[in-house]
Amino acid sequence: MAVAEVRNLTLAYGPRTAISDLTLEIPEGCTGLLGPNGAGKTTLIKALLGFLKPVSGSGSVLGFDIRTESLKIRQRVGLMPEVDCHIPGMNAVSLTAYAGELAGMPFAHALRRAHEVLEYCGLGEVRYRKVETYSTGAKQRLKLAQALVHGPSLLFLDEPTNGLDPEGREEMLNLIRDISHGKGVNVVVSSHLLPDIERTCDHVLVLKDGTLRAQGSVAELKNTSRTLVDVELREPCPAFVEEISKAGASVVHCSGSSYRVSFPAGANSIGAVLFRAAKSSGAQIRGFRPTKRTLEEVFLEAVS
Amino acid sequence: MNPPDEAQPKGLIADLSYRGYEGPLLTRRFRWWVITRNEIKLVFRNVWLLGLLVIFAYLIPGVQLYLRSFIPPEIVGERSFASYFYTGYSGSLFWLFLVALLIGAPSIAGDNRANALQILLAKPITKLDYLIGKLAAVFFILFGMSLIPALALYLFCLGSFNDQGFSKEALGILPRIIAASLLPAVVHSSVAVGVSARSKSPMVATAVYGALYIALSIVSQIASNIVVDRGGQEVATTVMHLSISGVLSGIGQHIYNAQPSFLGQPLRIWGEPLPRPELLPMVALAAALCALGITLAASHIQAVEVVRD
Repeated sequence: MAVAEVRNLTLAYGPRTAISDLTLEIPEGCTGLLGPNGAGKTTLIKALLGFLKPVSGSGSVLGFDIRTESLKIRQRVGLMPEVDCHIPGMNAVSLTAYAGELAGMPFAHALRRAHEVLEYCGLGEVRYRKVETYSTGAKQRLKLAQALVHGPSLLFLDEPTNGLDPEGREEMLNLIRDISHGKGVNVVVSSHLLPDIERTCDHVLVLKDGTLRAQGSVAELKNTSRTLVDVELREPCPAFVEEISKAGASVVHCSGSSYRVSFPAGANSIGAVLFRAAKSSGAQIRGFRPTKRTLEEVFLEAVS
Repeated sequence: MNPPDEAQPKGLIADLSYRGYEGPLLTRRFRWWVITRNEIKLVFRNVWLLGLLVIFAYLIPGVQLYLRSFIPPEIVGERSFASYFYTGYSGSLFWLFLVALLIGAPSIAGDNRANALQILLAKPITKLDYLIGKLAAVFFILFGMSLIPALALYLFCLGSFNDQGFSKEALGILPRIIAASLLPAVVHSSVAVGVSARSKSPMVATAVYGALYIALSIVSQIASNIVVDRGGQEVATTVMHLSISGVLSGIGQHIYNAQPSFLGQPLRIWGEPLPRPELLPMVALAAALCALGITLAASHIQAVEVVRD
């Protein structure tokens, strides 16, 4: 079941169309939102939160219409923005409780809940310090805590690991993974860091120029209808590439003496084909192994 | 030495796992009050000292009233009790302006600068809830600072001057005190918050509001002199009051039915007591300033920038 969907959605800033006729579904679980600058990620999230009225098309988040039920959507959604956002003079407890009260929680409940989520996000020790004195990592955790305080069903996380040191990044990714798996919270992670998406997300949406370029589970996207093999030769050999082509395969990537060879799906005797091509071309194979596309390759292929 | 008990939780909260919120939710109708309460809590500590200075402004008429008990009326002149309240009111206006400068002008600009709108407006509140919350916070602080010392003076009069005729004026003065306390609170909160919403820097918003307040006073003074030069003495006083400080002072004169005075003596111009300005133009200007401020604020509170591409 989709937690959010848009149908033939067109969004514009004045005369400039940012998203044109976009149709997509965000499935349950953890979804990565990928795309180069200007791809329309911002605009899509704005529209899903009800901040931007569509020119045409329709959409819903958790079953609520993005045109008419934006407050109901925001009641059930949490947002962790990319930029630093805090209110000077407040500490983490008061800021998080304030966010909870704005979501409708009674003060006592908001306060108790603020302590719980701050503890969960790893801010227990510093929760009474003024937020302007926080490190970048603590500010990121605080943004996550204020997004979680009212118990949203869907979280939008924008560059959640920005500015974090390796340890902090690891902890943040673990938190995201924990929230999005088995806690009943669906998560949309917008990030430029593909390893972060790969670590945390089950599904990926790739946007470019306001259109959907690729969509699917991470495993599906990384799989291909062809079989890929990385071959390491003793030295570069153009004749090997020709011999491989004659055998019905193709070299999709070449770096020095390393070749990525693509065979049709279900191809048999890959080793025999490689050795025959090497023998014919006079190349010397040092080794070969089956490989999968990385998410980065999927991304680059989708946006190229 | 005993080994640490592994079963004990490390933090204060025993269950550190995440779970959803299933508690009660309040109606959205008073969501603005959450913003107001939080804002008051945050900013009041910055201005409580100015509140003491507002009280000091009402001490002067209090002392005058005290002295009145000892000095015969033929020496100090006959004055209504309401005029003493006007003295306190006009003395408090400068301090209330400073309070508005310190809490009103930075209110939304501070949130703009800290990107706080991104988290506030992502919650189930409307821009109107946010605006009302901010306006109400500034309003309540100004109203309270204006009302409490005036009420204190009222209670002082009620306890001390009933035998000198205060009991006859007492019922009439109370609504005047409330009206006079509402006036600067409404005008300052509307205009200051309007200026604040346009800015991303609290300091700039403060400077702009201060400059606007002073510039309007200077312009109205110059305009009044020009009017006098052209022979329009009868409207000069009204023109002189066409500024933020002017409307607060001028409408205050009408509310308390008082003349501007110095040490109990009415201010004079060309040998005559300074005439009271016309009420209608000042009310119109005050209403226009409030409407402009609120409209500016409403149009400049932007929904959250979700992702920076």
